[in-house]
Amino acid sequence: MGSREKFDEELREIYRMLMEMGDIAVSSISSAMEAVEKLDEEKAKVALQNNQKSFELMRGIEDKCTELLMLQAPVAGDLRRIITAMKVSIDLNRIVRYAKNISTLALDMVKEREGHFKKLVGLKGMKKTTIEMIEKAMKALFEKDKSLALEVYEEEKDVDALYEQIFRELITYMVEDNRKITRGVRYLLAGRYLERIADHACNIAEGAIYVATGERISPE
Amino acid sequence: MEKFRLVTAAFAISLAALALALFTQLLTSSLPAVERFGLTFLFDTIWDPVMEVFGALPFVYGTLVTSLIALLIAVPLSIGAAVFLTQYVPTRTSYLLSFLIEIIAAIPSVVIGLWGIFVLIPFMRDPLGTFLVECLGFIPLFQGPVFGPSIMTGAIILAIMIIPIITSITKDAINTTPELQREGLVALGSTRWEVITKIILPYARPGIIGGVMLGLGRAVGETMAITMVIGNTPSIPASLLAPGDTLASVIANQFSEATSAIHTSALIELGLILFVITVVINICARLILRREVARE
Amino acid sequence: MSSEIEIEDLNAWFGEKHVLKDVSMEMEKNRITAIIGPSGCGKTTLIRCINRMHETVPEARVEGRILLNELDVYQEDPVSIRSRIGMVFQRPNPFPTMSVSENAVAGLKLRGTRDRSVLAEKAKEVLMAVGLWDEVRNELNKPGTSLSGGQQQRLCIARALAVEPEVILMDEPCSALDPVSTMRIEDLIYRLRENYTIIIVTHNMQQAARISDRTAFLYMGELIEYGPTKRLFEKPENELTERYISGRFG
Repeated sequence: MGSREKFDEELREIYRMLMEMGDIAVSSISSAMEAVEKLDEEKAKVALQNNQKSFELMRGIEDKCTELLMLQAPVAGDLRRIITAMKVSIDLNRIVRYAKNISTLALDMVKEREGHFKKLVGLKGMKKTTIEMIEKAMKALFEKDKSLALEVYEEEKDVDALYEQIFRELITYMVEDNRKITRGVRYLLAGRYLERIADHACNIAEGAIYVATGERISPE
Repeated sequence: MEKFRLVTAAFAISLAALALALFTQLLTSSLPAVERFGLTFLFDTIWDPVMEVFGALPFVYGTLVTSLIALLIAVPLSIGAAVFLTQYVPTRTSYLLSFLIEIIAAIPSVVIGLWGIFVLIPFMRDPLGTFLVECLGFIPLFQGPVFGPSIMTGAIILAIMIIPIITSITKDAINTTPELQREGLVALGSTRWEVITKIILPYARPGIIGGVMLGLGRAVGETMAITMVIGNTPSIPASLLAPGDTLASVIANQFSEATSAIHTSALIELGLILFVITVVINICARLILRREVARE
Repeated sequence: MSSEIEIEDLNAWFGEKHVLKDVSMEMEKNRITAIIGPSGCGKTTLIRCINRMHETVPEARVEGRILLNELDVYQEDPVSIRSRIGMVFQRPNPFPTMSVSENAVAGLKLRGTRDRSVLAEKAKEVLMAVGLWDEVRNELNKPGTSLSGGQQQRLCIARALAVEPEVILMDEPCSALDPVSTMRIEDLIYRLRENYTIIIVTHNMQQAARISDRTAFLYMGELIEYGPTKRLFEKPENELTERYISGRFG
């Protein structure tokens, strides 16, 4: 194998690991939210375990990227892919950490032995959209598709709007009935975490655009 | 393989032996003359086969003087030509002109001698000889009267014959000048003339000297053409415009009609002197070439 | 003083071979412009057209315009152009018959400066400028070729500086040097941009990236891409450039 082929092989491996991290992130969010919705302890644990795997992958990507930067002095597209891989792995790891936080909320709710005092329509909507955003951003990254990446930014507005709506709604519940404050704050935190996840999905989309065109999109 | 080595060794040894045999043959055949005249042979100026008085000095003088004058004429012309051919003209033109110059070397010397008799001697007599006497007559070397056949005529013929040799070797030497050195100077903003005098000629100098020595060797040994124009007079004239003789010419002229054994032996001794002169020139050329190699 | 170079529709040939095709570009003053490209792409020919060295090769031909501060190089005397545009070659080429200090001021002597104190002063000045003075101050009378390769190349740069050029052309100046000498020369080149316009041909892309302000990529005699070095190495616009600089050529 020539050194260029080895380089290409290494870079592909990095992106394969990144894809795995993406899958872990998505599955972490969906099991954490399922744990919240169904007050399911087992599902919550899945998300907690994912955290370790994701961290190891992130470290692996960092090591490999450092090695390539050090030994191959990559430029142009190669350089952009490597830099972006490092950044996206950090974003994905953050997403998994937020999913873990949501799982912890679910476990707390399980301990409280109480059902939900409302249907979690808003949170479900946020979950659906954030997962979609991550999947789109990752697809945009792999396919170097700028317009797909830009859609991610549009969807973030939806997530923000949903969060705003949940916020008002829960404030109303909590003002009416102060026994609902504990649970209400937990819902609110879950929403807050999902909103953060959407933010990181945007970072990934930004990386996708940088890989595709070399442009750096500023937030807003 | 082994057989092949032996055969080539035999060739090499026999060639060396041939040179050695030639030398001993010259030595033994000239022994009677050496015994009879001793060192006076070298310094005596009279050559009289009838009285059996033999002195080599007029021929040694003629050989050395014609060769040196030939060099004085040929060297500047050859270097000029080589510089022109390598630096000033496009490759194709240079190739054509070089070919024409080198063709001179291929002309049989007897043909050049004929040209000397029919063209150079009359030219020497009229415009050139009288011109030299008029302009430079105050120097004894250019005193009248003007003869057609003369030492000067012989020297010019020799010059013509060695120009191709010196030109082509100088050209080769110039072409070995490292391009990087030449460009280094050009890029500093130097003229073509500066490049030639500061880089090319200094670099080519050892090669040029080698070429000059080879030309000298050729001039010293040249027989036919110079015999036809020098006048064949065994004397040491004060003027270059008077006839003279050379070692090679006198051997060629007299050997077939030499009657006495001592005459023959004296002629062979002249041959020995000629041999020694050419060997010395060749050794000098080798030494210079070796120094050039050592310098690089 | 440093000057800018403007190249307009430059075409160059070796015999029948068309080695530069309609190249147009500008080199800014006090900037380092790197020219990169695969072997035989015409990068060396391009800089040799600028100081009219190209035409010194038999059968070589040039068409188009090159302006040195709006002065048409091809309307001037090549000898005077070459004294305004210095050149450093691929391999160090000090003159072997000259000492270190004679080499440093060889160009001044060509121009007729004879005053020994002026020459000595200038030799010291340029040897200091290339950071060679402290290394060779006790060897000024040794032959220029007795120095190490890296020192010889710095001596050649000093030699080019001594005639006070406006532009310095460098043809792969580090290709025959070891990494440490290469770094020293790169440092030197970077410092020289304060006073000179520098155009450097290099086959070392990292070198171009490290020291140049703008980079031009040449391929088969054509200028494929030319732009700020940072931009060119981060996001080349042309697919060929991208493939060349990331080592995926052919």
